[in-house]
Amino acid sequence: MSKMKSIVDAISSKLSVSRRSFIKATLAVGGSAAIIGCEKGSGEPIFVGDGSGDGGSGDPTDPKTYERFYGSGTHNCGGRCVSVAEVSNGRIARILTDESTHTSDGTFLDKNSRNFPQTRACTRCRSYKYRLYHPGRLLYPLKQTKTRGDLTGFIRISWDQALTELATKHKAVIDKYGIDGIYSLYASGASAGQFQGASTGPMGSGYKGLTSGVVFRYMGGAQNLFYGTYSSHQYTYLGDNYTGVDGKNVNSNSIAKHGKNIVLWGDNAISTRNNNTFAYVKSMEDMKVRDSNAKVYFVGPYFSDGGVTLADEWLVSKPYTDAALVAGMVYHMLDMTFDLTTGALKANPWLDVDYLDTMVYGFFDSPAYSIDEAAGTITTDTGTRKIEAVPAGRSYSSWVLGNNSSAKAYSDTTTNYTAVELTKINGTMKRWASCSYDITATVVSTKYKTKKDFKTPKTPEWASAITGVPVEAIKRFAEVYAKGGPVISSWSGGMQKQADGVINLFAVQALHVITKNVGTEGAGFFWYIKPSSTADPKALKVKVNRPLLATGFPVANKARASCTAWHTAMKMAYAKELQKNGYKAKYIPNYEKGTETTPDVYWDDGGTKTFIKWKRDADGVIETYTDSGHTFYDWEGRQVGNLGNEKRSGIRLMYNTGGNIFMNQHENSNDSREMLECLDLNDYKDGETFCLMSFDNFMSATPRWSDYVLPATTAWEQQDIITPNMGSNLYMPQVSTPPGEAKPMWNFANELLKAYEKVDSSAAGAAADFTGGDKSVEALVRKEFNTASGDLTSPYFGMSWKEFLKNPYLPAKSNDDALPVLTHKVVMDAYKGLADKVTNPFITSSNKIPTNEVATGGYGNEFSNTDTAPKSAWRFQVYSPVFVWQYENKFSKYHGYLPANQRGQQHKDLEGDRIVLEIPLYNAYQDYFMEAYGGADKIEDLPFCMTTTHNRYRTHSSLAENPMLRELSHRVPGRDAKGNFKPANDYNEYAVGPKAFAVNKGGTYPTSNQTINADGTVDEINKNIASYSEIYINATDGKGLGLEDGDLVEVSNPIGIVRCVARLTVRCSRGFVDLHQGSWYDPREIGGKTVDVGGNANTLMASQPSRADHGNGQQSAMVKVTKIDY
Amino acid sequence: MRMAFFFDQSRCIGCNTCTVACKDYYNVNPGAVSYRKHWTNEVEGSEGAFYSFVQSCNHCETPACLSACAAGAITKRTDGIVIVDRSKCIDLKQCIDACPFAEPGIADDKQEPISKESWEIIHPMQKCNMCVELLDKDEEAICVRSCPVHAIKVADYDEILRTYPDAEQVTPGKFKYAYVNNENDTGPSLLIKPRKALKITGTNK
Repeated sequence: MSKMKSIVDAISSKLSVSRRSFIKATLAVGGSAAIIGCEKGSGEPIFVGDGSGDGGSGDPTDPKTYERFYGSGTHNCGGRCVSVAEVSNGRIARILTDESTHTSDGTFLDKNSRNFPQTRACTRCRSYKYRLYHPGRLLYPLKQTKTRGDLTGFIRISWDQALTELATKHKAVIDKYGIDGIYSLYASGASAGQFQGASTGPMGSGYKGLTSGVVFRYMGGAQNLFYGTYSSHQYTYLGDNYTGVDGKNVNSNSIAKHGKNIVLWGDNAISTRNNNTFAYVKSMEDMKVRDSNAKVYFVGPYFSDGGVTLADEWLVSKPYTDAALVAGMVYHMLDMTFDLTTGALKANPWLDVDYLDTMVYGFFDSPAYSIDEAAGTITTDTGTRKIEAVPAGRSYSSWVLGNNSSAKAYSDTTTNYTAVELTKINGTMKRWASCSYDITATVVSTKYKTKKDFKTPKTPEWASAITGVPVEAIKRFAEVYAKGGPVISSWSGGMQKQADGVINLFAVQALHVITKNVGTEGAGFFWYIKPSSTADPKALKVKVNRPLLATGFPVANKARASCTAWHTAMKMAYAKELQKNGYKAKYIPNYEKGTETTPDVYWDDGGTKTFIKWKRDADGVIETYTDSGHTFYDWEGRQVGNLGNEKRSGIRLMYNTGGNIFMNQHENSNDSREMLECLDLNDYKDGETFCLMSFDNFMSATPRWSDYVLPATTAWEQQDIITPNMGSNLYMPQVSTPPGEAKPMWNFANELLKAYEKVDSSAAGAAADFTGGDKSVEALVRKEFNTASGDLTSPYFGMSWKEFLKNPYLPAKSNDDALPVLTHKVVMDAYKGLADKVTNPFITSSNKIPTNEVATGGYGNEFSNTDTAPKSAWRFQVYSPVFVWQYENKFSKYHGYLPANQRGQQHKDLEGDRIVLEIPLYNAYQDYFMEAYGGADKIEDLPFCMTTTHNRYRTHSSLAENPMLRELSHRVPGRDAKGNFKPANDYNEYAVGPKAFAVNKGGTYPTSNQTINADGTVDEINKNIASYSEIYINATDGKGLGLEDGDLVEVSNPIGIVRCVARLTVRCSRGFVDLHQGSWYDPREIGGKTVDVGGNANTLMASQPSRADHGNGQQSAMVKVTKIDY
Repeated sequence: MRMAFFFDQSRCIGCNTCTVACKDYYNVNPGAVSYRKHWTNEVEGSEGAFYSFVQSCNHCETPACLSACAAGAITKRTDGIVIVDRSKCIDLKQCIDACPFAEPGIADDKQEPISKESWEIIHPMQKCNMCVELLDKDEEAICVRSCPVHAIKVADYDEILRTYPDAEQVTPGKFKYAYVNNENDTGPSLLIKPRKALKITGTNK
């Protein structure tokens, strides 16, 4: 024992006081469950977990035997790989992964296949032990009694009390605001499971079908308030249908069999979608075996792991400037197609003018015309499909060429039917003209760089100055797209989280349209590359029979805001209360008054105005009425005259079941905090006061600022059906003992329904109906299994339940030949094979590219008077009037309660010009930041552009607590004796919280990271423990700031300040920093400023939404970086 | 027989799955000791590259650690695998200085809070034993089984060369960045299929 004692002493002397007794306890019980959670004396334990991450002896000669069980993680990573836990006595010792060798029909899984169907888990799932047994796990239900965010205000309550109060609150809100007051915040911390999931589970946001959100439908209903998600808002908004480029249909076989030029536009999928990685790597290997000249390019400011692994060439560009790069390329293509002095067509032109005339609307200026829908004949008959003019100087090529007006008339090149007919309509119409977009101010006085540049030719030199890509490379890259064979662009979603991301997406789609890289094998614009496989059809299908639901629960007619505008909508609803409680009014909307220098938001409105109490029928469907020829949604309190008296519902009760959106993942965490601290504390008997409940594993930022915090189990601690990405439904049993009073979602839902039955007699029988009478998930699965085990054709035939648990997984089968059906391929092939381009119309009702029209816009929000809405030209479109129309009218149907001039989205920038134009022009990023930060002078001292890519060592903010992953993504400031960087070292020290504290008995506990003091200082004893997020900064830039690799820095802008450790690297372009998103917000008051030592990227993100879609431009910030002494 | 690692650098995505899977399997808690270490070596210049690189104990032909260890804790099997017997380690630390690859590790109290009764000292040296107990049962090593892109193999040196004729032997000349501690040529049993050079266009420096 002397040796044991010396360890205890050695450790005790090195650790902070709060951790000493913990380590002693750990040692005393030999490394299994420690007893600190039950320690008495210093007060009632609140949320300390029950042990370290130690999983038991790792000695391979240990005679202990383990049982193996299949499962996965629950986080929303896009992977969902299979892991296999080795378990002993209710505790996981190790986590292995999928090692399947055959499918259930005996097919061998070939490791050389690019579609190899094993789903091998990455670091996230393999380190789960350190999540499950983390000492920071929540143990008991907590209720906030002071101010939101104040850890000392939490008191421990019983589950019974928590459930009764929640049910009472729910009823009170329903009584006062109806379902417009209730919202289950979409969450992704527990998204894998059908029964235990957050958004996907029983208490999800209530719109995805019977499983999701079903609980609230028994409780009077709940809203579905967002359109889009934080992951894909801009892509969802733009979609595939404004331009006609389809972004879905590519797989590894497309690359291997037809790939020639692969362009990774910042593609980071190799970091985020683990079980697509082999398909990426192997398909490009196969491509190069097939064609040794095939090339992989990477474009972007941050050389992702995808680039490191796959790229032959990296075009180092500046962030947010893709539309400028495209413009420079297209200028060069035009220059190689036309003599830009005389307008004459050159010999061997790079662009196919006949194709552009026939198949691409808006690349050139064109007069208004109509087509006969059946025959496709171009006419001037207004009774047919009317196609709007692309006025002189407004087409994409007019903007690209700036003040160039050398174009010849259509009549000069009548080698195609469209040109011939347009000439008949307007004999002098030219293909381009000097750019004619409006500027209310003058070019000299406008504050917007974008507008100053309207008439500037977007030459490669212009583009090079903006993007940082050399002129030579822009020209060479233009040649790749125009003449180098088919091009596949893969971008993995990053671009569409930037301030002007919708427009950048639009631009790259336009590049594909213009260069015919669409509807062709080996060409296209795709989110990411997938393996091709077929899930085993013999998987168990487990359903829950819910008779009550059969009578119909409404899911239609949602009032919706964008996933960014909902914070603004809340501020609108709670404006008076916020102001009374000291909230600085900067983000309470005042759409009419907003100017550059007054901070009121002006970005009207993204659905903000839809958060009122709607008049609904018995099924919950919003009723309508007609006024002045328009149909409007009806609202509670409508007066004679059809205006006003609306009840602003905002959100009164918000369920946050396994997510960290509110405080951490939404833009501008400091503002979210201010809002939550300035809203009156919840009164559960009152339907008026705001209430936020979190059901979670850890005291991360959103639980901390919640009114109720309820402890949840997670994967391996609960029974669930999960769906691995390439596999089929997999039953995942409970194998690990949950901590404290943590409950599975299924049980929580069942018990909440029982509590609700007591406050609302109309809900009688709901709980029994929901679970089938306290049935466990296992019982439901067993029922299906029993059928399968008696079925000769089932792979489970003849198995016992125990045998099933040992081997439930059915791997998929790879498809090495399957090519996806390419959208528009038939039309493109028909065009390419067209013998006579001149005589007959090509575009007809059977040969068409259907792009967005209001009737097919897909949002369900359309204003009734759509007669004037622009029609699809049935061609690819790089000029989109409907894109602008949607912007202006998207929410009009909800705006009946407003005066006519406040209906629709006001479409004016700070100078009165339009915010969204019909073309994918480059919007200078400085314009967004000038607006977002409150003045052009606010960006002058911010030399760096920042993005917030996903890293692979957490999933959004899930697993940010995991020490095995923190040491791969966080650092201790400084360098070791050899000058090397110091990985995070806060194992058992981070997210632990105060070990135990007395309820409301004094003492302040401002944080759950005790290694950093409340004022940001770090005690000597913690100098090698306190760990910070890494921020990537270009090595030359860093040295210019006097930084060495590993220095502690403050990264700041007018929105916020974070502390990080600088990682000097040449994987970034100059003038650029990358702070991976997802670290937990942890604000401290340092020298009168609020500084986030947690390194949450959203602390630096402006509240202003992205252009066009009112989405989340969370990959965009301008910052400065300052060294902090450590 | 010379058991060796093959590493396909042209495939490695830098995901650290092998390093974490290894730590998890051998219950090496978070902390400085890791039997495998990954980093991306940065080479500046227009024909530069980012070389994703991972190595563990390279089970050298002439292990510097073995000859340095006066306690006899390190031995080399006839199949070439170099193993450490932790119960024989007496804290001499000569292996630490000797190994060119800085692979032998010594945990601190936080990473290794439990000391075994059979050990002479609190934290004896530990390192990759090439999953010898699994290989002896005809199972594959954990890192090999974990790799999502099939970039790692453990096999006989000559067999690897037959399968991957373009694999290159690690030497201080060819893979200088592997030699993080010293450049003694110990004949590491590590063969690498290297990543091709990258063209960098634009400004990252």
